[in-house]
Amino acid sequence: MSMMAPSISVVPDSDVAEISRSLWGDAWKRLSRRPSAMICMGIVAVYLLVGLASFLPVFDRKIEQAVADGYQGPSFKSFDRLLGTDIQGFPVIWRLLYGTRVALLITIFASVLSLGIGVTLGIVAGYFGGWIDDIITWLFTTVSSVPWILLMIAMVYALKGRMFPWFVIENRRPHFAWAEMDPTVMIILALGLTDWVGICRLIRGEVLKHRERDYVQAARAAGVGTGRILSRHILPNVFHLVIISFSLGAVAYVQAEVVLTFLGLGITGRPSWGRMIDDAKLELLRGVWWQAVAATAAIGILCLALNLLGDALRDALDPRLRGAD
Amino acid sequence: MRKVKWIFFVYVGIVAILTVGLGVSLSISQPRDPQTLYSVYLANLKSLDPAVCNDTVGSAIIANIYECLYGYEYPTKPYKLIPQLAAEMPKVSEDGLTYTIKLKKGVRFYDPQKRAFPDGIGPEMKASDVIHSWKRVANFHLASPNYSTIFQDKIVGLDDFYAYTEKAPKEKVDYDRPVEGLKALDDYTVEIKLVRPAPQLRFQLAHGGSSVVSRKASDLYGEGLNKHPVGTGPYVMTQYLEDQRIIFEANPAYRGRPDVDGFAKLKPEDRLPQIKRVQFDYFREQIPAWLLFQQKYYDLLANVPKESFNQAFNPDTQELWPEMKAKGIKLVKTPEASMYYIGFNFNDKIVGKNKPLRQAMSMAHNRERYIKVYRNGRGIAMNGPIPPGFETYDANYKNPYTTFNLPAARALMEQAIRINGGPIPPMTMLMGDTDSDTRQWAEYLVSEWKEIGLNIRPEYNTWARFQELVDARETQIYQLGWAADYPDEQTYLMLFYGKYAPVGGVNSCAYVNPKYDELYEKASVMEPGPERLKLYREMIAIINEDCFWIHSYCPVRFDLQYDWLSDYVFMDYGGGYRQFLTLDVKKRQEKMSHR
Amino acid sequence: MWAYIVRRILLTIPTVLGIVLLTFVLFTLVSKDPARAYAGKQANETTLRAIRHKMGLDKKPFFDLEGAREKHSIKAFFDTQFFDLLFFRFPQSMRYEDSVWHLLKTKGPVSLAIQVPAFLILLGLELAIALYVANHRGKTADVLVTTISILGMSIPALSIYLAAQWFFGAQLQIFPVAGWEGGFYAIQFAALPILCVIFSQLGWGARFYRTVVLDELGSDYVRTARAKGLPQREVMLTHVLRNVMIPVVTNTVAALPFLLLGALVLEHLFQIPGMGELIVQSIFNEDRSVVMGLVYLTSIAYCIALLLSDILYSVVDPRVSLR
Repeated sequence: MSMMAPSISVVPDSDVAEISRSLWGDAWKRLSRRPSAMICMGIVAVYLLVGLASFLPVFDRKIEQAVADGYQGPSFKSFDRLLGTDIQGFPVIWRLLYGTRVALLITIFASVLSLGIGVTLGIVAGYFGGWIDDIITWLFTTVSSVPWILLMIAMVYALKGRMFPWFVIENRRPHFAWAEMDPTVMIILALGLTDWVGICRLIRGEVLKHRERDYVQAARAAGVGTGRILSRHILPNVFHLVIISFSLGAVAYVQAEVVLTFLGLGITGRPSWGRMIDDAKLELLRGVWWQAVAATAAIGILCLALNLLGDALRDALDPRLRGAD
Repeated sequence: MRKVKWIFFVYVGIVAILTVGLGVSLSISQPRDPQTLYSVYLANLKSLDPAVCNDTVGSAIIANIYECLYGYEYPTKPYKLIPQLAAEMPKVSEDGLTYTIKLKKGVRFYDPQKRAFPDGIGPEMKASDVIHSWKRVANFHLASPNYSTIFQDKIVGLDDFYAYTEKAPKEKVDYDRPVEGLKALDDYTVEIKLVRPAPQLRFQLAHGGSSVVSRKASDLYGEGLNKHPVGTGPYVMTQYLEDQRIIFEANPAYRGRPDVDGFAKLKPEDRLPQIKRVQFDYFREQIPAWLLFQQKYYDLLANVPKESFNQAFNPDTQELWPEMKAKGIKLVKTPEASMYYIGFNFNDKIVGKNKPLRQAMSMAHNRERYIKVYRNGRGIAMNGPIPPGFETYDANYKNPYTTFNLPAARALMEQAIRINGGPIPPMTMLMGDTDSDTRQWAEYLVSEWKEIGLNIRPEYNTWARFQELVDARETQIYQLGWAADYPDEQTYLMLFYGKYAPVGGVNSCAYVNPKYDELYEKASVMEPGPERLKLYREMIAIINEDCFWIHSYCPVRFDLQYDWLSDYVFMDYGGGYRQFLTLDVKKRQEKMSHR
Repeated sequence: MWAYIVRRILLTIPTVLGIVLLTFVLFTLVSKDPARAYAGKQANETTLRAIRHKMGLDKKPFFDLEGAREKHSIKAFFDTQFFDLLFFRFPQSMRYEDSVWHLLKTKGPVSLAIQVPAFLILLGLELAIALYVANHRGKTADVLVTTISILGMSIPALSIYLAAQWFFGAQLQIFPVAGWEGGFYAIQFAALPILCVIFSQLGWGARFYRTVVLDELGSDYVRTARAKGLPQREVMLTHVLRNVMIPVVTNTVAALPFLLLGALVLEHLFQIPGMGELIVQSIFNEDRSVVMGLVYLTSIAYCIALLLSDILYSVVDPRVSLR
């Protein structure tokens, strides 16, 4: 098939682009009519900005600068003490803001990893069918048979304390060395490598339908290469699923970080929201509530916005997936 | 419709029953036995088999059930070794290689399960039981960590026995196979032949790992001995719910006191234990235990959680608040025979070769502030490797390198940079845990060292991984603690001996100094006395000068108890000692009634 | 139907093999040597070797050709770590000095004592709320429930547990803060954790069943029943509820292994000596055989539960076919 001249393509690529552009345009129109969705989008954007800003070196300095001699309740007198201080007198507000960095790293990279694996395997399985489909189906059935939290724990447990060849910069000279994995990287891997099942199953089902559609059949008959069909025809048509999964996946990742950190498998070297809640588990019983409340609020607001946004996106992008409401 | 109704009624019924049950359960408080001592334990127990058990909490628990040949007199400090199952102190031959030990007569084992012995009371303890117990420790299949600490490379022929058990299948290990160094001269005399003189052996024969178990019980239970202890001690274990509860009852076959033999005629009021029943409840976190202690559910508590310290104590004086005293709570402060330090790796290119750097880092460490802020003052700043309670400890000694002095530290840093041939690169410090206490400890140290221009990154590991790295000498800076095993400075000084420096040895900083080794070798075969003390002092001076440890602090226990209990003194070695407590039952009932 | 059931069972076999392989790879090939965690501060190579032997870590990973030759037995050939796992021969737990099966027997009931009542109460509440809310769609109650459930899904469960522990345990002192007691007094200690499970999961469940009920309300038979003139209550309680029971039953079956597993975070926080706490403690103490055994057993149990739920579904709902 690939021997045929690719120029006689029945459905020109531009048309596909046209169709999908109007699909996205429609979705945007539907979305922008819902004020709640726009507010949520604004909240997520604020988190994103804070997350990006938290890479500034000032944050690294501020989180380890004691502004009191121990626990200190919230006070409006200075920004540093706005949310009080922890047992070391470090400002909770700065540690909270710094936490967005970890949250951002985890959600972005874990999503990229899990969606990358899930989408690739899903499209391949759905499009090619046959034994490839059998193997991929077997793979995700197996992975989904292990309860998610256990699989995640098993993964972190297995990776923890192992040496990996690692790219390090020492004395300004980059080189490979054996080193232990950074806990953040470990969590990202554990989340990404375990959470691809859902999206894979979804995409596979969707591609199975699209494979038999006229435009794909036509493109195939016209001799369009397989890679091109997959990337230019199939992928744009299932991409809305990726967007929805992303926003709902982020919720799961932020919450998983809390659980893993609580179980002693999470972030250690730097402040994170999970660590703040973990620290607070004993503080709370003696009345030090500000760390727990601050971190819970940070997670709660972000997840609420993402949950609502996810619902709105689903309604806007894929009305068929919509529930009865 | 009818089916739906039925389901609905059943459902409501279940919820109603549960709610009523909850109400009833909350309104009836649990029955409490007036004669029982209620206490808590805060670490999970691995094994109750004395041959295998080597953790502090486990050893303290089983020391109530099992006895060693020697023990420590309660509550004497400095510690005094006394014969426990042995009738007298060992007779040592001229060359220091042969120990002859006479045993007490009439000491009996007791099995609360009544499986090993029909009425529970077992036969008399004989020399063969003692030798069997030690051979068990040397059984490969038991995988006892005590073997390497107590017996390995010490007793003639025992290492061969170990090698034999490694070859033999688990079920076919023959305990009757003779070991040259362990002989029963008669039923009440044990002879030990050593490979080389070991003056510390008497302490090791007071270590829980050398406890005497009954041959018959160990043959019957096998590995199950870890759940069914059969000993000669003051208590027997009548209930064991893992991670939940342990109940001890007085051993009916106990001879009455540790220092008498089985045929002693004691008046009933002199017989121990005075408290006939002890209950230990398991808590993983300290806070719930502390809350229940305040409600008088427990009679004594080992430590107050850090987070609640100010609730119990005046933070300035570290004494109980008056209202706590009014409740009848008493405080007993005891420095532990252990210390925490930050170690440097001798083999490391940067810290290993740079004495001023190590000294500067030690001087930049403000021990007093750390103890005050992070440990609520429950610690003693260390001025050397030996914690209080040892003969060579001198509280008034001013070690220049353990005194907080930033200007001097900065001056030393200039030297350090010169030796290093340029600025000191960023370094890593290994920590052996990931919990919040460890993180705070590391962050505190890092911020102190920042003051003298050092950039140090803490790295948190699981305990196992940490040990692996330390054992492989793949560390640069690491944080560790060491608890003494016996009241002899040797337990600390051996940590700097050059023979233990290679990979896997206990000399975790891989320190090698021929002069130190010479002194150590001389002192290690010496009987206690002023001469040995002099050598010890010389060795400590070398350690302080070379500064491979930043001696940080010695923890101080704040034991709390109610005044209806006689004073409980914490003992670092041996464990147990519950049999010496007395309980004023009437007073407790009075206080409990107006809770 | 029988053909479907047989096919479904056969399809489970490769999945089970996949689970064995996954567990084996993660715990035996990737994870590190757990012997050191037990050895203590003065462990040397001798001790480590003995511990490795006791834990069965010195066995070959897949096949033991040497051992078979030496002992002249085919049994020794399969006396390896892989086959030990496959045939449920877990090495003994180093922390408890006990077999994994025995631990399951002692810790399982504790988890069930919390999870079963919590599950039942939760299910009832969820269904009641879902039916009520679906019936009053778009009204205040509906909006309120939907909002609260989304809020509940957004706040970390751990925060909810912490708040409950602080409020009911430390402030009001109604329930014990943490701990466990066997027998009758278990109710007292289980109450707060059960409440926590209900608090943290009610939102999700109510929302889920609301959607299910709304789907059913939109279907033809409900419209027919209404057209027949049946009162709304009757329609809800007989027709709708009966059909909602299908997802309820299948969900329940699929949730069974999780009931036994308990809630890791919950049990850890409240110090309940159940299965969840067992896993957490085993992770902390590097008790590999327990972590491995429980991950493996739970996955197999989940696999079987899914199989049962599918079969049940096909029995209840004849419309279902394999794809």
